[in-house]
Amino acid sequence: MREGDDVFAPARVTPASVIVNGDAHAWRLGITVADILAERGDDDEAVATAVNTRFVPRGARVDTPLWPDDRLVVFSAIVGG
Amino acid sequence: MTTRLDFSAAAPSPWRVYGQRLDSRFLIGSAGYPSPAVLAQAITASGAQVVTVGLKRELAGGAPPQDGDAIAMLRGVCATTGARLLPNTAGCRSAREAVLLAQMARELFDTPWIKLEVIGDEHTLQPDPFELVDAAAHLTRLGFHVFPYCTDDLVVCRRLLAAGCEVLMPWAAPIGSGLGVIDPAALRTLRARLPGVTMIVDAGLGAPSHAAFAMELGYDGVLLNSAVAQAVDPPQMAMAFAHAVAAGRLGYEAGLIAPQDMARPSTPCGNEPILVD
Repeated sequence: MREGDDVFAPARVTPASVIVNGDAHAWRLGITVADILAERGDDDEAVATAVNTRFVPRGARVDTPLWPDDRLVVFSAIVGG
Repeated sequence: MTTRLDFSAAAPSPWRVYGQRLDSRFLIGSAGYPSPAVLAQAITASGAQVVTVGLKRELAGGAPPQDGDAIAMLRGVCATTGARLLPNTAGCRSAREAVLLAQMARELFDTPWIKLEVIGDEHTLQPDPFELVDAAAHLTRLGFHVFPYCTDDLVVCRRLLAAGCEVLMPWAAPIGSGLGVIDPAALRTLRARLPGVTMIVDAGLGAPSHAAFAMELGYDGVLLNSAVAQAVDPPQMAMAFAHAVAAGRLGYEAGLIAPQDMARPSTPCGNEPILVD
């Protein structure tokens, strides 16, 4: 608190989110990796995922819940050298 | 119309990589081609049986992958030619990143093969030997067949073998430089000190003659991308490299003569001068 702040003002609450490839995505209780992929429109077979730098296999996505501030990365195939 | 190279006339000996028999000793990258169609033509023309691919973070908002068309084309070409995909860990700067990316690659491409790249310098894209060895050991324990992109440092190569790698991929020169083999002595030493190890020269080759030279040193194969992808005519350049790789290997297997400073007459006309009057 700083001098002059209204101690009785309601606290500002930032909506909880998870970070998906660097962007905020709305969080809700029970949301899973599979839910996020579905909401993004990702082809489940065409992407690979990791949460907080830990690999999440395709078969485990539906059973992997996310929590506020978790970081999900979604990778896809590209050409390469 | 460029056609696939026919190895039947003068085929170098087949070889094995992690138990997989290969007839072509030319491994090719799939990045940077003018179009998916040209990529497909180049791969077909190359006769390559191993094609490298990569992974990238998906775009936000469920946008389709940038390389979706090229990857679909690539999978189709590989299904036709029987070529295998070799995913890489390009962009990784630490063993931890590389291990994670390799796990994702194994799932996406359904292969235990992984071209392990862990970069330690932004300007040269030189591999970080410490992170590389660490990642190689970890991935081997996880059941991967690791193809480490490394320098020509003999001791690092030994550490990679000790970590479980059955193949080494020393560079010829920095990635995309096109310089060719910048340290022939180092590659000769590596070949001489690790005579039974499968080694593929990877990166830095710019001309078919560079590839032939690497093969003449006794390397088992070459892997390159930019020299073909950025050529004016990628399919034709792919074919040129395929011929060069095969020629270099045939020359190595045939046994090169030892170079010497002084002349040795090739025509057996005797040592007496020929008197014309």
